[in-house]
Amino acid sequence: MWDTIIIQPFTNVLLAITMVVKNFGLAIILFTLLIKALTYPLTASQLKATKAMQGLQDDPRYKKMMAKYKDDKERLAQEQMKLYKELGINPLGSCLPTLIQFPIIIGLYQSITKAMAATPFELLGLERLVYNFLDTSKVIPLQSRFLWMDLGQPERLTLFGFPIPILAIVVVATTFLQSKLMTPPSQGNDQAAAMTKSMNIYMPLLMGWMAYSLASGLALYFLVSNIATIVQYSAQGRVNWSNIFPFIKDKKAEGKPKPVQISKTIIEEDEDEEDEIVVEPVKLSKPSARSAVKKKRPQMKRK
Amino acid sequence: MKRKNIIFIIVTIALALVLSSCTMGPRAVGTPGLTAGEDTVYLAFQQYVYSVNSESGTEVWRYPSKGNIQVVFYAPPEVDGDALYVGDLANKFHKLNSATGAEVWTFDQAKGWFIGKAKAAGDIILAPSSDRSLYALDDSGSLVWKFSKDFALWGQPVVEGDSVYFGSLDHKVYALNFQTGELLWEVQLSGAINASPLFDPETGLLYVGSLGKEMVAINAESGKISWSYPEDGTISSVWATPILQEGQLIFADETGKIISLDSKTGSFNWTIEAGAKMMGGLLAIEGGFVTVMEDGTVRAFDYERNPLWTRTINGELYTTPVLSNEVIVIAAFKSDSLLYGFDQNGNQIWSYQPAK
Repeated sequence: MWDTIIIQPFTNVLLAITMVVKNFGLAIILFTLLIKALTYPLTASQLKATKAMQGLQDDPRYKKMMAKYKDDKERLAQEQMKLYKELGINPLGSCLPTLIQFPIIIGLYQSITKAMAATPFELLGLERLVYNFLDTSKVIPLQSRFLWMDLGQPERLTLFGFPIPILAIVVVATTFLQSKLMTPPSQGNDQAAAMTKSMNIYMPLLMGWMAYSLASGLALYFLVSNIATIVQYSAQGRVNWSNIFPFIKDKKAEGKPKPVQISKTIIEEDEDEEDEIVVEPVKLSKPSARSAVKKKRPQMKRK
Repeated sequence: MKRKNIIFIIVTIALALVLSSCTMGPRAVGTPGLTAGEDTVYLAFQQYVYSVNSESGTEVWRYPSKGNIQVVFYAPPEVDGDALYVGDLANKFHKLNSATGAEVWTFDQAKGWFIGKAKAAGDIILAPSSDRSLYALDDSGSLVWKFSKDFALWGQPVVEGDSVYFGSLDHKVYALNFQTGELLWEVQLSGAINASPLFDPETGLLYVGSLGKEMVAINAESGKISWSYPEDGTISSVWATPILQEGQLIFADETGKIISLDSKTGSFNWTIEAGAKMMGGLLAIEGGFVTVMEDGTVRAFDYERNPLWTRTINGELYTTPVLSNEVIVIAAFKSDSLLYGFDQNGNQIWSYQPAK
């Protein structure tokens, strides 16, 4: 079932691309980009939902209920659901697209692994995956040489007599870059911030270890996937360059409003409607540059 | 550290392990590699090379004494007197004492896995590697010459006179000078070549099957194709070396079709539908031949294509059976036992499953 729905079509597309471009490394790159493009609507939907959830954390009503029901988890959950409903936010909106993408990512990974059949038995399996209309006897087995790499073997570039895992190093760097660039501005939530910090450290190391030990064809996929993800997020305006380049943060932070005590009316800055909500005084944490800019925008519009 | 952090780290590590499980440890899936000695069979499978008495089915030795998950063996061992040669998936090629399993030397200059069976000829050992090279080593394990092309080499080379013949996954058959490794000729076929060529001294032809759905006869001297079968593409991929008996060249394709051709002209004699898919080759026995099929069926036929007997093994059969000490030895995959011994009437004598 899994093979028929995911692995077989993916592998055949990968082989078809290889037959056209006559280079398996290039085919992996193009196939990864194709899958990224096809799953872009899911990514965009996820980003939108994540943005809405992040915006919610700035909502005074949300903060108020968090403080008020901090000892009553059940009630807190009920109130949160009410607020989600009222604001039209789907709490699963940010994770559902990820869940849908997950089998696609696994399938992509497995199809690349299958295409790089490394033993006669694996080649037999690959031959049987191929659709009849593809004359793959001309392309199987795939030429696994790409640049200095053997895509079926872990990558090492010998420099001055030392085998250096260049691809693994680049995968670590791009995974770190991706994690940092996609880290949203701090919301003052210590637990979430700690989680994000952990992810920024462990994820690049894990990806690097996999790129170091697995076939370089898969490491190439990790690299292209990382770069494509950064580009996609960048296109959505969701990349926080200030996390990498502090001077951007400083520039944006110019004219940043001082932390304020919300003591009376706050105009809810919703795209469709404006609600007037009266809240109790709440001490806000120091806003980040991004949230400061976001808060400033509507005021400027009103002028 | 917060509980959620710990959960996150555990989930991430688990995901990494799941993703890498296909290629870590035994980093590829292979089938048993089997070779016959006089009264012993040698089997390479996963972490060990086993020596098993072919009369009793008892283990004589195993190498290494303690398996390492990073060192995997699938290449059929090559036995030459008291020497046994076998390569592994850690890019190393070993010479062992065939009587004791003691390691004599290891060659570690290859950059790819050893999948194909080596060939010992005189003082030279030829080791085909997935790093696209054929290594010629001397008796001490030192490199004599190396021949490199563009694709992996999975088939055992054939040595005849001063020439070495072998097929490659690049769809080509090569002839080299045995002493120097110098290229004599190369010929392009329609598909990748997994199996060893078969040389017929009577006709001077090399017979090679390919995944390009063909059986080709090549003049070993000139490298010219003498004949090719079929012309209309009615067979499937050929994974194994054919057998030659009484002027008949007999081989099986992947769909389970067994075909007999005239070895000189390539003209069609007869065909048998064996009934299941086949990757393993045929074994010539007295008065006929034995076939093994993917679904676990073992069948014997005579050369007039009359069935002699049929047996079933609980498992999958991909490895060409061997004959040792008059015993037909079959290596099974995903089975209760790794080896099965049959007499030539198809009666099971023993089975062997390595102790853990």
